[in-house]
Parts: sequence; C-alpha cells; structure tokens
Amino acid sequence: MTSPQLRLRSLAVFALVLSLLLPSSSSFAAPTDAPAFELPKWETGEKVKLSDFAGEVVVLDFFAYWCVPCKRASQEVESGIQKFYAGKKGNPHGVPVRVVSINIEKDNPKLTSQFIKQAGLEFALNDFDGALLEKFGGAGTPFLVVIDGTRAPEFRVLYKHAGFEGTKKLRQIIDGVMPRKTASVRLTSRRSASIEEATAAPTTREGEVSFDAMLASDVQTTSTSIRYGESKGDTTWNARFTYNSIAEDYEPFRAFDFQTSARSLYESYFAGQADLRRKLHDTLTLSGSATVYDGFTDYRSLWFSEYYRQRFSADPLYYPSNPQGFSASTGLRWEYQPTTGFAEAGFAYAYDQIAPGWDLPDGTAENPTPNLEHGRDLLHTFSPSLRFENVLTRRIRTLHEFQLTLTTDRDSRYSYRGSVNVALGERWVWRTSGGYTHEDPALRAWNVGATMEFEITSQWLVNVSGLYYHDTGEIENSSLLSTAGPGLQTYQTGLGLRYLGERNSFSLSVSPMWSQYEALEVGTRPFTNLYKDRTWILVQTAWNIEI
Amino acid sequence: MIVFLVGCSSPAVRQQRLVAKPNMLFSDSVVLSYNSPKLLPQLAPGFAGSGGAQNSGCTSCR
Repeated sequence: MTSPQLRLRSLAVFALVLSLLLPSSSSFAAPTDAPAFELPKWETGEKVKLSDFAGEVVVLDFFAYWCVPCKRASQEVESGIQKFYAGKKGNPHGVPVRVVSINIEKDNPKLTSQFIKQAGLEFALNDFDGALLEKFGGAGTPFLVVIDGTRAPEFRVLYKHAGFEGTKKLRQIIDGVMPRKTASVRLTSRRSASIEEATAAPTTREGEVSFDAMLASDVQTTSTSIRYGESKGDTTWNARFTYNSIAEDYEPFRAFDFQTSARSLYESYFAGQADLRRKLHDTLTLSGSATVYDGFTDYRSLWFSEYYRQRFSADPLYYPSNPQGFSASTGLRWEYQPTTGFAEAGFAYAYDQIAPGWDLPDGTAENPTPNLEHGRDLLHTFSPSLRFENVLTRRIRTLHEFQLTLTTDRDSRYSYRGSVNVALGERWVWRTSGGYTHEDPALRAWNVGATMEFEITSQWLVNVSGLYYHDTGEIENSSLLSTAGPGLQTYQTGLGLRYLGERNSFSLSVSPMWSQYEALEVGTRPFTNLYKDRTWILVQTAWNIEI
Repeated sequence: MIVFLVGCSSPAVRQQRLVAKPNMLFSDSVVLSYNSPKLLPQLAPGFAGSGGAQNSGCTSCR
C-alpha cells in the first residue's frame, strides 16, 4: 500500500488536479491615451482636470480607506514619488512629477479623512462612483497609473497596474519621460543621496505575541509565540520563536497495566522559524520557510513515552527518547485576478525524530529470550499543497486548501479545508469552515465550524463560535499493543473579543470543549486513562503591533 | 469545479468594501485567526496538517 509506485501515482493525481484547476493568466491592456477627467478635490470640492497637469508626469493612486494594501502603497507613493521628485525639482530631465491620490469610497468620510492624514496624502480627489477607475480598466485597489503629460493636449498612459509593485518600478518609468522639445536628449541623473535616503520605500516592522492554552483537569498544554517581521518594497521576512509546555498526570489503567506507576510529567518544546516572501513579478510571489524544533509535539506522545520508559528502561537496549526535527517549505503565490483572486502552490518537507514505541516479543522455541525491539523513530514527510482564495461577490470571500501528505511507511493522506466568509451587513460577519481528511486504510476525519462576529465600534468586535470534529480513530498498528487513538468527537463553543486599532490589534477568546472517545480496542486498553472523555478549556490571546 | 473554486467573476472594485474588512480576510496574523487553535492537533489527529510527528500523534501507529 505504501510502495513507491503508489506514491508516484498520488503525486501524478495531485499534479493533474493542479493542471485542471489553475485558470489562465490575466493580461494587461496595451498603452492608450488617458481619458480626460474632471474630479472634485477632497477638502474643498474644487474641480481639477487632467489638462491642469500639462507638461508634467502625473501618477494617479486610486485608494479606499477599507483597502488594507492601499495604506502602504499610498504612503510609499507619497514618500518615494511625490516628495522624492519634489526634492529633485522633477525627474532627471526636469519634468515635474505630481502624485494625485483618488478616493473611490463615498461612505464613512471620517475614515477616509483619517486614511488621508495617516498616509500623508497632499493632493486628493474624489471618484465616488469609480467611473474614472473603470475607464482605466481598474478591477481592484490599490490601482496606479502613470501618465505622460509632456505632449499635452495629448496625455499618454505609460503604466497602469492593480496592486503596488514598489516605487522603484514607478521611478524607472517616470525617469524615462523627457520634455517635448528635448526628447532626443537624455540627461544624466542628478540624484542626491540625501533625497534618495529620505524618500526610500519605508520599512514596516511588526511584532506579535500569542499565548494558547488547552486545559483539562489532568492535562495542561500551552503554547507561547513571539514573532518579529519586516516588510520593505518587494520583500517581507519574519522570525518566530515558540515555547510549548506539556504538564500531565500519568495514570496507569490498573486492569491492564500492573507494571507502571502514576507520575506527574512536565516537558518543554522549543521551536524557531524563519520565513521570507519576495515578489518576483507583478503577479507572482515566492515564499520560503524553515523550522527547527526540540521536544515532544503532543501530550499523547509524552504519555506513551513514559509508559515505555517505566516498562523497559532497565533493559540495556532501551534508550530515552529525544524528539526533534526540522522542516522546510516553499510556495508560489499567483494573483490571477487583481486583488481578488489568488492561487498558491506549496511544497513542504519535514524530518521528524520521534519517540518510538517499544515491545518485548514473546519467546519462541527457536528464540526463547528475544531482544527488546522498537518501532520506527525517524519519519520523512513530503507534502504538496494548493490554495485558492477568491472574492466571489461583494459579500463573499472563499478559501480552499488541498494537501497531500506522504509520510514514511504510511499511506497517502489527503486533506481538504474550505472556508467561506460572508458579510451579512455593515457590522455582521459570518465565517464558516469545514475540513475532511482521508488516510487509508481507516482514518476518516471531518470538522465543521462557524463564527459570528459583530462590530460594536469600528475597532471593537465580539464573536461567538462553534466547532465540531469527528474521526474514525487512528490507524492501528499490527502488534498486540497499540497506541492508536480510538474514534473521537469534540464539541467546542466559544466567546471572543477583538480590538483592531491603527497600529495595535488584540484578541482574546475562551472556549469550553468536550472530547469523547469511542470504545477502546483490546490492544489499546493500557491507555484507557489517556483516551478518556475530558472537558477542556481553550484560551487564545494575541497582540500585534506595527512598529 | 472551476466555478466552485474561483467563482464566475469578481465584483467591481467599488463594491469590495465589505469583503475588504479585516475580519473578512484570511490573514496569517494570529490576532485574526478563527477556530484554529494551535494546540488542537494534539488531541484531534484530523487537524494535523504538517510534519510526520504531528500527523502520527501516537508513537507506534503504523
């Protein structure tokens, strides 16, 4: 069942699905004459026409206050284009450059005003019905247009693009524009180092701290993470450190286990992760990530390890377990619909040194005193994945994720996870998610969850949530003693509070959860106290700050 | 299948205000994570998505 041919077949099926699912690439229109416009100024309502910019290079920056990437784009365009060329008194050929920011949102003018102030926009117009944006063929924001006005009354569109590609690309286009009468003369750049430095693309720094806990009366696990990241131009990187703790009361099931004794266990887990994302092209982003860890990844492995330690540690062939590993992944994200359609293909590899199972086989006539044996303690996992994120309507955003997992000595695992977010109204958001996992010969797992969130104010939100999970039980091992979990159901409800400020955001949620196992197989009975029904409390809190 | 995954068309940009709200996005930030506690895969193996150790959960399962 786990032959190389089967793995190759799994990969081939996955590749076929990928080729069928990926839609064709979008294309850009050829350069055209710019449509004339007459739009009111944001503050005064005074009309501004395109012809007012005769003899200049005009950069149009379409934005809306609710557009998350617009803020960074507008800040960088204002700093790296408007101030940069104002400081140099025009482009290298002396052509003046003007950034015109264009707001497309009519509602909530206070929030638009706040956006303009925070982004430092000097010259903003209104295009409330988006008519001008549509004339340029804009399907998303931020949308940037570079217009050459040196041949007025003819205005030529040199560049237009949904999504921000950085000021470097805009400067290359702007620097190529020459005044009409000196078009054949290319002057050398007079760039000043101080201006370059002062108007370079700003660096966005972000910090995040999170704490999770999953608590039952005899098992307590926690996870604490700290992340720091920087984003500048086309590149974003993050570094993360994670500390997990597991505390549990190991309790043997006396009816089937007379050899071990109760003990309180405590273990720590440390992990470090680094990831990097870089934009390769206007629609393609490459990402890479690497993680190393040391320690038990879950409370059940720790329980089993203690069981084996107490039973077999006196045997000279036994050695203590030391779980550790590393993983690496890479992904390519394709924005096939500007700002509204994304596909991402990923591939991950994980190397895991796990705590193995131990067994002392029964003696036979040929071998009356067999040696202590242990199970596999090294796992290699290869995992290709696909993600699709789309805006389907003005109220619905979806995410679909497919994953194939190939782990040493196991059958292929197929997983799907789908999420649908629905804006029910101005203040209500309904989020639904579901997933299914399939691994031969016997594991089937599925889950469904939903969250309803309400905006008390534009910054404070509350939510209620629910999650149901069901599986048919882990895959039994063929030996007499098995650690495989029986079928499991969990029910979870929760209450959450979220604060989304300008530079700070914070969340807290508390969720009671009930886990119920099906009856244990004979080989799993020694672990009856591990696989018992429990009531849990889940706590999640996180704080994010933009520095 | 294609319609299921990517829909028929995207709304005009001026109609994207509601779907651009922070709580409508699929964000990597843990502040905006929903129903995805990091610790749940320890209990429920069907949630585990990466790594052989996480996936297997148990130590001597095949």
